[in-house]
Amino acid sequence: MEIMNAIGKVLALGCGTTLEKVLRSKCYATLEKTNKTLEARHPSSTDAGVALRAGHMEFGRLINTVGERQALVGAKDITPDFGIGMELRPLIQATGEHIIRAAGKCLTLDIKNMAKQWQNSTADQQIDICRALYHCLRSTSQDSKGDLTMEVLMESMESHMKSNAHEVRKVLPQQYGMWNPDSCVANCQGKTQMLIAFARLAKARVIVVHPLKHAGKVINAIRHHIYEKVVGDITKRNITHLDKPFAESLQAGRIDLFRRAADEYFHVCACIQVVDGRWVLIDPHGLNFGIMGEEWNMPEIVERLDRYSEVLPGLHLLATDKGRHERLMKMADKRTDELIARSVKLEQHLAIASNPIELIDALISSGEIRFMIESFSKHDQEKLDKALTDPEYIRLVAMTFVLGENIWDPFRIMMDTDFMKKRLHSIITSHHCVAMNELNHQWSEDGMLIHPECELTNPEYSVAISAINSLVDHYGPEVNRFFMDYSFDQTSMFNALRGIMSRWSDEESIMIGKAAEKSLKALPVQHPLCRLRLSHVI
Amino acid sequence: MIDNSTPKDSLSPKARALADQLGHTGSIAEALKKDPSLAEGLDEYQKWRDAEHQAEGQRIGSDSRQQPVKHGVAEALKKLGLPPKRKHKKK
Repeated sequence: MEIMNAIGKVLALGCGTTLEKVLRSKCYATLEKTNKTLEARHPSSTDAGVALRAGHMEFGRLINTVGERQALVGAKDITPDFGIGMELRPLIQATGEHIIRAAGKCLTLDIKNMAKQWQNSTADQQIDICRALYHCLRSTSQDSKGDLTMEVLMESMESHMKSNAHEVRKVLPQQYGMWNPDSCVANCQGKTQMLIAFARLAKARVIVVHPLKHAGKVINAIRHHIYEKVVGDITKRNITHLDKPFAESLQAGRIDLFRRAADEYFHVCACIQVVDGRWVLIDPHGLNFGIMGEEWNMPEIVERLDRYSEVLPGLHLLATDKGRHERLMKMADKRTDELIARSVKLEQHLAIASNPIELIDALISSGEIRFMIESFSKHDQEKLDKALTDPEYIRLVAMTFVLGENIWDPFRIMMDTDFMKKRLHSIITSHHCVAMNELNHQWSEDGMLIHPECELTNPEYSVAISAINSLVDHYGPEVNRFFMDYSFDQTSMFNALRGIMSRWSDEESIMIGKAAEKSLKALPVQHPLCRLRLSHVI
Repeated sequence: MIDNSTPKDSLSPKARALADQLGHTGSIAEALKKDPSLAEGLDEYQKWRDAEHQAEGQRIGSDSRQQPVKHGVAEALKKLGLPPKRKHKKK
């Protein structure tokens, strides 16, 4: 009853139709007819037949742990307790199709034009369209608020909380309405629905991606590592006089890192195939874009999804970048070491100066000033290159760096007994600042870093499962049973684990929870929230 | 860092007025309430605004919620600007 209510709400609130109408529709009748003949069309002697009879839960666990061949052997003649829900499959699929149709109405004219353009485009042009689509579906609230200060951090935290609050973000097309980056409240599900609607319009192949490890988390881990290295070096070298903006950014950065570390959530995005077979991940809500490299083995994964899509439409297959993202940590680590070493060398070179004029000369002769200008200047490269050929400009910059904010106040400079130390410390920490800012660049938008661990699945069916999950009012055994019967995904298993986290759970909830626990524990990759919940089961 | 911002010069007067008034984040509804005639430049302005968002994405890159770390050296450089063009005088 709870599930039927939730489906009814999805259709009425989100798609402008009703459960009754859908149940009477031709589309539903066709789906139901196909569903009824599944067993006959897929006898137990076939691979699909074996999967059908083993159900989502058993086959999902096996195929994701021991591989397809072994899974088919292990799943033969199995009598599963979960995962063979059949009756509601046509309704789930029909609900998904309605959601995508309604999401199509939320696409702007520009996006619809991109879909038209798609069919006459080459693979590279289609990748450009994917990139444009990615940028188009980013929300204004996601933009950077400016340089890292305490005030900007507070503003960013406030904006993040306001724009991502559960009551603000909407899942269903008629709730979030026509897309615009400023005020459309579509959440990750909404944006994924729009991406699928785009793909359907463009007649492009699309699959749904549930990241288990988020690219943003990888970036944060790297940033945290760099932060610790930078602060460690500053402490070790007894650099006591940090300039004010840098000191404030370091303090705000620490808070920012902690805030982000605690931010775990289930997420969804989409992957679209371009004409030459490559798959492009588009995640405008989680800010990740890129072409899936060979390490993802996408052709095999998609082929496998296709093979079982009819018999197990809720099957999610695990895929990873095979640890490719770890090399980014090594790259960042190496770069930070290089920059710190240059800072040490610069400090040694500048230490010979005993007054501001000598410090200016030493800075110019250090060979680092060009790098400092290029790293911090916001002017375009052409103008900058021209300026860097002018020795007077270089000298002026060195003077500005050495004399600092008191450049027009020689009296203050003369009276400040710590002046030389302060300026030296300011100059030599500029390399630390560069190290910390390197990761503001393109890694998660140019394909260097893609959500490294994901579950991949069929679009419409999965969109409906997620929407139903969002619209359920109360998680009782009936609800958890539904998700375990009709889908194999970690969000559903996470919810089911609740049954074994409380000593007052009823028998059915415990049984469902234990089944989820068994599957999750077997999987090679788990969502951090699942890992956390698994560590708390009784 | 490269400045990729989209020039406003090519915009029509109405679109330019919207761009000057709102930048790429202001409220369009508010601006149109004040001056409904600006609606004429709305489509063109929206395209400019989308291009601005895209350019900003490329500029900031990565996780664009991330705010860059500040440093006094950057501020000093910003204040200093680039050298002015020299005037060559006949001797």
